[in-house]
Amino acid sequence: MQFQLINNLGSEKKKARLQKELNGFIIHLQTIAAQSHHLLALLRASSDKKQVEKIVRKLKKS
Amino acid sequence: MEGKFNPETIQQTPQEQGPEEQHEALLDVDKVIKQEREAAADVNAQITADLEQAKILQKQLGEQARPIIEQIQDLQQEVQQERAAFEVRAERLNSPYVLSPELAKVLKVSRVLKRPLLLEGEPGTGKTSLAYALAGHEDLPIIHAQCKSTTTAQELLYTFDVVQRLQDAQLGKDISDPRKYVKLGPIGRAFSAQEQVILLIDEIDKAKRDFSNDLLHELDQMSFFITETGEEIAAKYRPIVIITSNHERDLPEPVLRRCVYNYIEFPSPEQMTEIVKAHVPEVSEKLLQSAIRRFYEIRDAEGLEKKPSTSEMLDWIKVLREFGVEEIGQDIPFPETLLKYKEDMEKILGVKQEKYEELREFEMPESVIAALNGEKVVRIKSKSQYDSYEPDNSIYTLLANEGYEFTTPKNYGRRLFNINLEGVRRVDNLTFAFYNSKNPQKGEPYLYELLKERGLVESEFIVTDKPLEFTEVEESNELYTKGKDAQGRTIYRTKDGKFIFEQRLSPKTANE
Repeated sequence: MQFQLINNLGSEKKKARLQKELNGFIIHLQTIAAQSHHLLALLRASSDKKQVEKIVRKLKKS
Repeated sequence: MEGKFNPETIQQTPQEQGPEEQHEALLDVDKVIKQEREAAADVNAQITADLEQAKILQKQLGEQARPIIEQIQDLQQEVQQERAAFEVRAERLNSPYVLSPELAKVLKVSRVLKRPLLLEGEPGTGKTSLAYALAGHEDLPIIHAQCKSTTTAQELLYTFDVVQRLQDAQLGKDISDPRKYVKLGPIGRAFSAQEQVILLIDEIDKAKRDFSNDLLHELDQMSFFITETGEEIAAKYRPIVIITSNHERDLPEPVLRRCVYNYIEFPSPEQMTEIVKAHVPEVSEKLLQSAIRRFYEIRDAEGLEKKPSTSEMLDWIKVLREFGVEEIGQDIPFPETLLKYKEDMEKILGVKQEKYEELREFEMPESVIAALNGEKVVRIKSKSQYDSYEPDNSIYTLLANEGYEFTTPKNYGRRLFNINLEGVRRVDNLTFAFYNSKNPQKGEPYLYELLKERGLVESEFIVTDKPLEFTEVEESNELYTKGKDAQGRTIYRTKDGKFIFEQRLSPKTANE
């Protein structure tokens, strides 16, 4: 019986596929990192807004 | 915030390189995983830094910050999960595959007919691996839809986030574009891909029966409509569809009709030799041949809870090489690599087998030995208390109606009543071991339930560690004691402290 070996060790196409998978995954990781930075930025904006309101309140009092 | 992560250092630009440089640029799986780990560690560090900052801000903002912090924590968890999933995927894509001539032929047929390829076979015969190997072999993206008992056909196409839309509406956000609430599922992504992909619908038999019927039209047409947007998702490049099933249930006939079907047999020793050589090319012929011989001896052993499969064979070879084993003799080094159940280990290594042989030598009834072995042993209802060979007439009716074959008794024990069924073992007059409770797939729990439901089970053999009191001892030897309890039941006590007795279930017959 003749067996056919596919996707063998060292196959260039396989390496190319793995490379593309890696690139895709890295982009996905970057997206996750960007989401995290965005969430932090939202939190900063809330904090800044709160600070401004605090200052405005103080100024109004004085 | 400045992140340390720089994708430019990782992503290759093969277009700008010559063929030789390009060859050098392509990474093997170990380097791919190394780079992926570095990238994930970088992103993880960035998110950790974000979290620290967020927690500082929480001191000022209080509870208001909590939902955002939780979302950041979820992202961190997602990185870990995705990382693990990527590594499994990379290993699968890297795996060589030994294609039998028969499988090569059906693969071609399904490509020519442009029909899904339906692969059935026991776990570990390489159904899923084939899809991944094909993706590596042809450098095609693979989209993996893993079916579970809860998977619906709809979620493989798309989901519409109604809750998010409602929340957005309540917050006064613009919800006029429904497209932003659509999330494509694996089939949706395969149809909308900008190149040909392999779509793997894995373990379709795990999903509910209607599941495969519900996808027939979409897989035929290679398109579907998103009701909420009116948009049609049609495949520009027809995906190569591979469907796998462990044959836990029969698939509907219309599904079978639309697919090119192949049952993958467990690899022959000849094919297994090629598979091992493909995965571990440095294995010596002496080790390979002796290990293959031993592996098939183990697989052929009767009554194993789980037969070792190809992946266990490959792990075994790797471990044997690592520990410098040159050849397999009569013993089995590192059996835990091949066998996953204590009972199998005992069976193969002979420990328990010897124990049972001893019990047989001391004439313990086979029904009691079977019960000790974890088998569901029951005595079925007899025609009358004076006849221990003839079952109740209702049992004949039930067996005949359900299509089970049986042998009728004759001449008071010259020919014995038997249920002629694989997995059902006659252990005494009108007494059968129906299945092993640890691996019910192998026996006939269905028949047992039927008999029990219709009141045709007279008694069940119970094994317990709870001590029972002997009122009379009939026999005692170094392995067990046999006697009666206060209710007049025959009880056995083994030397390791197990008590076995028959528990009566059905009421006594009128004749009694």
